[in-house]
Amino acid sequence: MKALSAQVDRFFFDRFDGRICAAFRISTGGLMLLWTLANGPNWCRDYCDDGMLFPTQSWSWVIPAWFAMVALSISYLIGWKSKWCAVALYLLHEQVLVRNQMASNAEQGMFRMQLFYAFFMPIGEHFSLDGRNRHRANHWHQDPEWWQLRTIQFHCCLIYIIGSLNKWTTDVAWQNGDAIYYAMMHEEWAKWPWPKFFYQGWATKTATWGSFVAEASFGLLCWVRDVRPFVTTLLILFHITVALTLDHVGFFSMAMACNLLCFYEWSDFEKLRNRLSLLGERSASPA
Amino acid sequence: MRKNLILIFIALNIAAVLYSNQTATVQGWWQKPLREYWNHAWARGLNQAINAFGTYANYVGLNQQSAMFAGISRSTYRLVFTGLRDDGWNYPLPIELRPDRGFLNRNFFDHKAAKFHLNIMGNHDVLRRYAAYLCRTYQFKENPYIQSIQVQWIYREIRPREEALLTGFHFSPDSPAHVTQTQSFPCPVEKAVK
Repeated sequence: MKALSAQVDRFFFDRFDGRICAAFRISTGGLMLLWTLANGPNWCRDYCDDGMLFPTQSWSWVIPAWFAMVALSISYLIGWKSKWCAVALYLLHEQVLVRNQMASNAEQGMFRMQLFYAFFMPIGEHFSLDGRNRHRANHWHQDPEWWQLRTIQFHCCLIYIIGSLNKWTTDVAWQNGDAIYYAMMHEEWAKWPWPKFFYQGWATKTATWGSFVAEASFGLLCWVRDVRPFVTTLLILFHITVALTLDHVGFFSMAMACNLLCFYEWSDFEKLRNRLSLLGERSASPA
Repeated sequence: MRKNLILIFIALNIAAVLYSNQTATVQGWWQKPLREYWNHAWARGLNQAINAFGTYANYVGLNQQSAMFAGISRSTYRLVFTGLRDDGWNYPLPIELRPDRGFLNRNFFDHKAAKFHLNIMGNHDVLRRYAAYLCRTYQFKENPYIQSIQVQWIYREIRPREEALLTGFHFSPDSPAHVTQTQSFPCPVEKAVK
């Protein structure tokens, strides 16, 4: 019992290098900024009083909200008053989402989730104006505890496990391997330039089952220390591929990729940098 | 104490995500036995307590459902909006999902369009409001003025993969894109007279 308690204690309350939280803040902040800018031309159609909602022509908070979201996303991105920005952005995204459900997209729910968890993370300690100001004022800070990251890690695992179960039980195309074929033939969703490639059984089955296995296994494999960086990188590449080959899911897919950054440890990047510099030295040195 | 509260918080978040993603079957598993004891206060209390996870999930933004392309459509579908006059003149509205929208619109600004059309498809009240918005936006942009907005549902079946491999086409030439439904929404008359 004591051993289990010690394990739990280590798993949740050991300390880690908080720089990974800064990577999460910068990536999600950049994505939210892009999302808000991308919605600019259709903002009034979706949310204004003279848009598709209520033709009253009255003044509303919606246009100032768009400017506030741009400003707050920039502030969040550069790490100036990061926690306050997370709270304010959460409230604005929530209001916008609730205001017109018809014009909602999956990434909006993802932003809310990210901002909720960001509130509990040390997002402003590194690579931020907050961190720089604290450093100048000689404020000492302690490394964060793992639970601050575990919450979002658990949520991500559940997304992949539940999503995979839904796929397997909802649509037979995931079982017979034709799911990616139908996705790639869809006129509105697909932007893959050579659809005939997926007429081939091996191509569509490899893509369907490969993506399914990558997602379904992540919920378990991400807890194995040695393979975690590899499965995380694989899944990030998968989400980037989805964003490039399918229309209208780019922001959601990239939001998922941002979540996955929380599965890295900063030491993974340092190891990679060391290996790359070692490779560089070897190739530069004369034989 | 502090550590226990943190663990409870993490468990609460996991429960909220699981609650938000439960299927009807799973819901049946825990609701059926509770209904059998519905005249007992504890059963109703337990039901409320479980539903409180959903309320919490709604408040903190953890209520998203993880569908992730679980069901994939075997057909393509889209809405086409056209401005009309009674004399038959028509104006294809330059809005989202038109093939000539250009790279930036298609990949960036129209990123919500497919889901948006999917959401409003079949919802007469929302279509009427959207048509009214299109009237306000485009009614006087063209001469002669638009008198109504026509919405067409374009539908096209995708062939099974084996058939596509044999024939070389994933759309059947026998069943081209066809209009399954047409609806018209008149624009406000008093504005057209101005």
